[in-house]
Amino acid sequence: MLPDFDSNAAFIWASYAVGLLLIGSAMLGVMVKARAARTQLVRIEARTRDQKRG
Amino acid sequence: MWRWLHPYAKPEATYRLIDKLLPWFAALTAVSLLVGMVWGLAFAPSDYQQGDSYRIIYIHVPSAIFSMGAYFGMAVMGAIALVWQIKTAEWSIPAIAPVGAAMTAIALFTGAIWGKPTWGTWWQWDDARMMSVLFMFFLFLGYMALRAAMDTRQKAARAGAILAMVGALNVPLIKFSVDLFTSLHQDASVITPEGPKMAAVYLWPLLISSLGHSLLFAALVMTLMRAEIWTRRAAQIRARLMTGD
Repeated sequence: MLPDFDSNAAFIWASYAVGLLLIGSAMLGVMVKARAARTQLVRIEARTRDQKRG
Repeated sequence: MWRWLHPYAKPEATYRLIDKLLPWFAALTAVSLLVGMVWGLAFAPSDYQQGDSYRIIYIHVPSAIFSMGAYFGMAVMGAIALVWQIKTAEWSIPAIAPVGAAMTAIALFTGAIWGKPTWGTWWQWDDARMMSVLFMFFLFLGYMALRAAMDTRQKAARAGAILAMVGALNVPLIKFSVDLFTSLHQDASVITPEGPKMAAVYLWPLLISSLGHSLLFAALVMTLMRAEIWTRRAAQIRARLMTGD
């Protein structure tokens, strides 16, 4: 299905690999940060509920 | 005209909007990136001058466009945060910065890789386009470092907004660097006053890939903004617990 990209194949694959790696890293970093923030909020809300119950 | 935007100055409204939009943006990002890149790699014809190396355009150009868009967005949000003191605008800037830095890094790396078969060199230190984009990358990093270095959130937000606005002067320099200075980089072929100069067979996959990059950018920024809202909410609750209210 894919053309053989003649002598430029290494450059084309390298650029897509680097691009997708950076996109993947950005997505992973963002998800880790969001998850940490969510966990922190859930924990502190649970603590508040516990304190209210006495 | 801008009245419909007013409710989103409140974090609660922004949070609800993000919750609604995020799954759609995530799904559309995956579809459009996949379609745009596969079309560009497998189905678009070879170029008569560059052969197949031009196919790097489908990842290089969208990331370059949205890296500039990201910095411009930071500057606009910085101005809104400074003038109207709108919290959601202030919180959007640190959400945009890391995503913009990632987009700029992609543009720089893929540009260097494309440069080797096209110009015979990975990098040219006196090229205005390359150096202005590299400078923008350092501005993104500098913004994040500046925010991290400040001792209060208010100072960090203010200093960051000012840096975002001042640094935005670099964005038109990037755009017009190929017209104003001698550069290895080709002239604009997508965003020009006369419209795109590319043939439709090359342009369509580029537009779809650009749509994918824009949705990806928006989805990542929205995720980080939602995380910021959670962090602020947790800080509020913690402060209340400490004061015993």
